[in-house]
Amino acid sequence: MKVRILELSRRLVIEERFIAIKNLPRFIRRTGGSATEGKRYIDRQIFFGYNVSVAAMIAFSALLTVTQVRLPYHLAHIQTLSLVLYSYIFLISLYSFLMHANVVISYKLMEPLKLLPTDMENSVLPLSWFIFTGSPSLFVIIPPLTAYIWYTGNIYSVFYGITWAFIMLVLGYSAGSAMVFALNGKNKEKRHLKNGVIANIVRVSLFILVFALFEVAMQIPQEIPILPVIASFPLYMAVPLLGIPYIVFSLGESLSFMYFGIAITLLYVLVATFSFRFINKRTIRKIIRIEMEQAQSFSPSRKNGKTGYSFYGSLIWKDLKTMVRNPQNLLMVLIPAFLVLPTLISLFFFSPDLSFNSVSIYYSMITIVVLASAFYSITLLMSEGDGIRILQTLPVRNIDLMYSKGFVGILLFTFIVVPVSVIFFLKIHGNPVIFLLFPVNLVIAYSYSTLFSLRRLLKKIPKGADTVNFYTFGGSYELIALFILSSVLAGIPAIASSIVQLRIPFETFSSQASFYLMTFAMNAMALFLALKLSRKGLGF
Amino acid sequence: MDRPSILVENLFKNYGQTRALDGVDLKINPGEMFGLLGPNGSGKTTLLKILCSVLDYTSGNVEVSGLNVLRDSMQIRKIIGYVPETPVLYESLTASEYLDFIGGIRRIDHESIEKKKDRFARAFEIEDKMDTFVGSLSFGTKQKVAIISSLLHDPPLIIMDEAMNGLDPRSARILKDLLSEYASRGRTIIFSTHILEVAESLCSRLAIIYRGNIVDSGTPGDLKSRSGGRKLEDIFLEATNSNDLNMVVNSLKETILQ
Ligand SMILES: Nc1ncnc2c1ncn2[C@@H]1O[C@H](COP(=O)(O)OP(=O)(O)O)[C@@H](O)[C@H]1O
Ligand SMILES: [Mg+2]
Repeated sequence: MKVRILELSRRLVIEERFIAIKNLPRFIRRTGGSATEGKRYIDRQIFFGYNVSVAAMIAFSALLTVTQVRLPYHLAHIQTLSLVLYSYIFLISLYSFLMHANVVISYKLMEPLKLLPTDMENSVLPLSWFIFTGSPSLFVIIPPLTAYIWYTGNIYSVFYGITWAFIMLVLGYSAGSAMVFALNGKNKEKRHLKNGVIANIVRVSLFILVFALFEVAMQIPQEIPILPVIASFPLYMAVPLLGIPYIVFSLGESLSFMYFGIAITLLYVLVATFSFRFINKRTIRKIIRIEMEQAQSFSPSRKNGKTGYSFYGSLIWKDLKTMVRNPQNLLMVLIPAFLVLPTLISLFFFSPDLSFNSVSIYYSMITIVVLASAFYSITLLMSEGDGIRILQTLPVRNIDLMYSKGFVGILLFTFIVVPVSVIFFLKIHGNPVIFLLFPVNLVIAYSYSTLFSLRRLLKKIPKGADTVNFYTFGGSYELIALFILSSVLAGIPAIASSIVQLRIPFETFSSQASFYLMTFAMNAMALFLALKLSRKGLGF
Repeated sequence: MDRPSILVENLFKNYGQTRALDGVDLKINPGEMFGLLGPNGSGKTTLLKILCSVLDYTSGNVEVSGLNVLRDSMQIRKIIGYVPETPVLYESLTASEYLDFIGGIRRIDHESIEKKKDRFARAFEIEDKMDTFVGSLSFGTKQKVAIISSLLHDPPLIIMDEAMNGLDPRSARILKDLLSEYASRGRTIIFSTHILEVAESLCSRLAIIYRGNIVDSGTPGDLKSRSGGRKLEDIFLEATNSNDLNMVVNSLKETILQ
């Protein structure tokens, strides 16, 4: 039984990849169409991909740890870092579950299981997620733990550190399940389209709010640059998340302090276990029901008045509709918002001297450009799914897709950036040039990064593809490649402007406004070049 | 004489080591209603996809209305109406929205889209389904939407891959009549099927494809008169079960084409 569940979990993961790559010329060439070769190829890919993720997690965390241990009070800095890393485990766990669930739902991968008289699906989904996607993030905690033990010799931290990594992972899974559960609504027979869309948006906004609170909570200790070495009162340890550094790195070492740490750890183990047990079955039952009833829960309320759009209009409306109406796609679109809005909200509330520093905020907003252009480019193409077969029979060129999908992405991005800019402007009381150019620069930077990202991705969709999903493009590697590509692209104009400001001692170049003007000039040029260059070599 | 609608010369298609098409030659003239018949896995879908320029081929030459399928892909997609083997539609659009989408992509003006939608929906009896999400339609209804979407732009070349699958008898009949009407107006129609009756009652010419080869072709008149007393179904079953190409060809020749 246990073996079967493991085998099925693996099957699920293989399936996810196989449907995506079975028509890729690279796959066919390497395997010669043989099933055993194909299986070996995918096995290798999964194995390799897992190791790369683990290595990336450790490298990323080791880098952060090394920068911290060189500072004075390094132990306290390691504590603060661990807080970031533990919340990172939570978030990665959540996102990777969303991705996993998305593919499983879209391709009805659980379908064969529900015909069997077992309830294996309850373990297969979490297990396949944990073994192949979720667990690499656990490794981020190793470098700071090692460093800490190296300095203090406190080996209890190993036990606490690992236990808490698991707790965060399971909590992330539960949170992700809860989102899938809630967003897929009540499977009532007839629900009106409008209400459905609004309900989706309300639910998503609620999630963003919860995340904002979460990140605000994270921001508090960063306001106090170094956590006090000994907690003033042990109850602080019980505060979700904030207590982790105290428990894992129990510097207090008084006996009562230790007992308290153990008690809280046990409490959270219980919370994690309970939340998992509570939500997992329900979500999986819902996933299976979604597969069966499909879109039946929606039924448009009335005849659509406006019909008929132009060529690009049709492509764009189609994308917008399929995005908003499909909870899976909506979640994917909102991932950058989840990542970013909460941080900004906390930044807004906790950074006292924004007025001096709109340029550094601009730099942190470039992170959003990078995240959004990578995520949206992939999501917009992924949302096509089997629809790629429709497009391949229509006179739609790759360039048309690049422009229409690019445009939809820009719309979504503008939705995120403009409100943020207004909020900042209110706080900064800055001059109108900055107010105008801050969002404009970001949108332009987004536009050319997304054009290049889409171009890269479109070239990876083979002629005769049956479907498009995350693995069509190579999965996580491609995501990382896109992050790098767009950081370089979106970063250059800003960095160049900063260098000019540093190097040229004229008064005219030194103001914040001139930073935005220079960046604008360079961005405009980059966009122009992107429009010229991106259409080349895209095939028909 | 017009140039042929379809010209296929020595066409090979490999999926890795699987050979799906093994030297196909085919010529179809404008106004023909051409049936491609063969058992499962014989290469029908593969051939039709290549004609629609949806799929690349390994070697050979394929021209559609004098256009090269590799080079003039966009041009070809404009003149073809294609119904794939299984209907793939955008599930979160309503049937009506989906047809609007296709109409928009094909640059058809609003009024004629509306008019055609109405007419086709009435013909296939799906007026009440037009504002339902495609995702919650039954297989047959999806198939109807796919068929309508392929005819919206009044294509000179219609390619249907087992389009009768899942249609109820009434709709199947309507589709047949519609296709005959199109053919009589000079449109070229190619469709695949493994149901001999369908091919027999519809086609002006058919080809039998087996293991990636066109093993024979002829007009339905020939087929009909030569099929003798045997039921078409028996002939077909015999052909599909046989592993030996010559035996299949011979048995088909004996009983259908003589
Ligand atoms: N994407 C694919 N990858 C590998 N082999 C395929 C693929 N599609 C079809 N084939 C193989 O090509 C052959 C012809 O298939 P197909 O054209 O679908 O036949 P038909 O439509 O006549 O049933 C079959 O042997 C099938 O297994
Ligand atoms: Mg077929």
